[in-house]
Amino acid sequence: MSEIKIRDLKEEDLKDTANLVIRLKKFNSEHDPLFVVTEGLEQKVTEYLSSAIRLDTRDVLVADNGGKIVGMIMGEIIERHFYEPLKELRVTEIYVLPEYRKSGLGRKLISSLIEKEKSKGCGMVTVEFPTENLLAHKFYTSQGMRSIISIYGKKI
Amino acid sequence: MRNEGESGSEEYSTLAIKYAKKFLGKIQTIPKVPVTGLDDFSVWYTPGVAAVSKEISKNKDLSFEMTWRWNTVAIVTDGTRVLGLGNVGPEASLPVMEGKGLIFKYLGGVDAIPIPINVHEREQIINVVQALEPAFGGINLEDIESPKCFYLLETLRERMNIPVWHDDQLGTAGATLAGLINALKLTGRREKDTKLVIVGSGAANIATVNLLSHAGFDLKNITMVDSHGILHPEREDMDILMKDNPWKYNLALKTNGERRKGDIAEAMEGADAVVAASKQGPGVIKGEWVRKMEKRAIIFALANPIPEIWPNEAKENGAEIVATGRSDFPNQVNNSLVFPGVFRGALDARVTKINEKMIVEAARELARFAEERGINDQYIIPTMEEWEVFPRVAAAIADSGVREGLARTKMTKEEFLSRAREIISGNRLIIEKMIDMKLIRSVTEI
Repeated sequence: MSEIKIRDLKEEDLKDTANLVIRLKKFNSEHDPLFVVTEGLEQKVTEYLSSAIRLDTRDVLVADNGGKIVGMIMGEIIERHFYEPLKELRVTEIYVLPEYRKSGLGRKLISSLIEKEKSKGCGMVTVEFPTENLLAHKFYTSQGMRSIISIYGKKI
Repeated sequence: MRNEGESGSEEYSTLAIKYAKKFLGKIQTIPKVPVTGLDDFSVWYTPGVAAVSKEISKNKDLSFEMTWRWNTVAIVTDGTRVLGLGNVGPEASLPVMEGKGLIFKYLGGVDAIPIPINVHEREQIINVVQALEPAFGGINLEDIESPKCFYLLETLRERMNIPVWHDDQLGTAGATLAGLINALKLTGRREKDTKLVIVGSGAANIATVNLLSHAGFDLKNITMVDSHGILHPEREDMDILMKDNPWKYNLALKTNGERRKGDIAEAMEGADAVVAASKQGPGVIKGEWVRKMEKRAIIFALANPIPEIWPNEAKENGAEIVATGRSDFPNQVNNSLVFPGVFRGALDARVTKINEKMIVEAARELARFAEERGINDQYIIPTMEEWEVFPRVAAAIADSGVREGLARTKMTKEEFLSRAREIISGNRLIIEKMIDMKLIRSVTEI
């Protein structure tokens, strides 16, 4: 674990990091038909990730294991106009390759991102995942988080 | 086109239907106490029996000593994966469970009661099986679909105080290990260095790999293949496996130290041994792939009735030892070599669990039994006709149960052996006598 470094996403990490996000998106599609992945996923994911390098309100951290990207986390800063705290860190993507799981790396990615966004004024952290993903539910509950809002949906 | 082995099974099917209708099932309960008139029931039933109830209510363990519980096993299925038929439902599983009960009785002297149940949800099955505990000395789960069967076995083994066994997993794994032990011995290999390919990653093979890891094999030297190819930690479907089949997922993380990718052919290159329990052959394993294995290769092609590769084809391509699941070829890897003795021993030592270490001991005993008779490429594992094997397995299980601290009845291995012999031969004698006296009709008479 000690050799795995958590750092900001760089241009040269885009391909490997996109691969991790694609895995996550495909896994999400297992949980609900409204998460069926779209065509041209790789390009869209790559553009989405690279926007984080430019935007101040979107950040990506990667877990670098001697040059190999083995985990990633992406967060957005959301302005909350009516509630305190006024700024929320929303974790939109997080993925760790299977063999690097159960070593605390996911936890470390979250805490590193929290540290980074705290300095930008975020006073709370939220995370989104498909309701049916019970493993995610278990993980975030173990991180001291709770369900604070529900999103219901149907196809129209 | 008719494949080899098919004609025989058609004939058996006709007979099985005919006999099922004539014999009206295969097993029944018969008394083991003398009944000469209704007066006897004052002891066997009320008022006398109330005293026995009172005793047991004071000490529940006495139910093992004062009732048939000591020798009784429930064969529980939800009928979701019956033989190769799939989900035919609990009623249709009953003839199969009766057959299993018959083998339990004939080879292990065990009273095994078929209990097909009409619930299918995991937790419901758990509740039903747990509720059966007071009536039985052991639970044999049977013909339950994967991956549900892993969850049930794991959970029930944890929660129950009588041994829980799933034969499709553990029985097959035990027999495979026994065969492998002798095959490795004959070809001068050691467990930990053996490069093994597992073709098919269903219940039997997942259990086999888990058992091998308890028997000295190195998981890093094992490569598992399923219908999507070689298992490895970066495979695309790993997250789905983590969600739906964490047992397979864990092995995908721990096996395949070389990180091979590809399919069966790539996995077999340079391997010492292959254990296939996948889909019917021939042609699932190709001769040319066998040629690319190490010298003195070992092939277990266990699909029934048509093995993944015919033994002669495997041998022509350089395999030294070939085993199948069939009795008409040498080296039949058959779970029926394992479970009757396992339960005999588990019941005799009244163990609370049958753990992996005990199953390894049973497999070693099976291997030793064959070795004592002289192993060669045509004989790596005992045959079903060698009846002494069942008490030997029983004694091995009971003895290791004692050493593992899981036995409630403690005796020496020799004592367990002679008890098992006595019970098994006693039960067989009853069957023989009943046939002699025509209480069980001969098939030619019906």
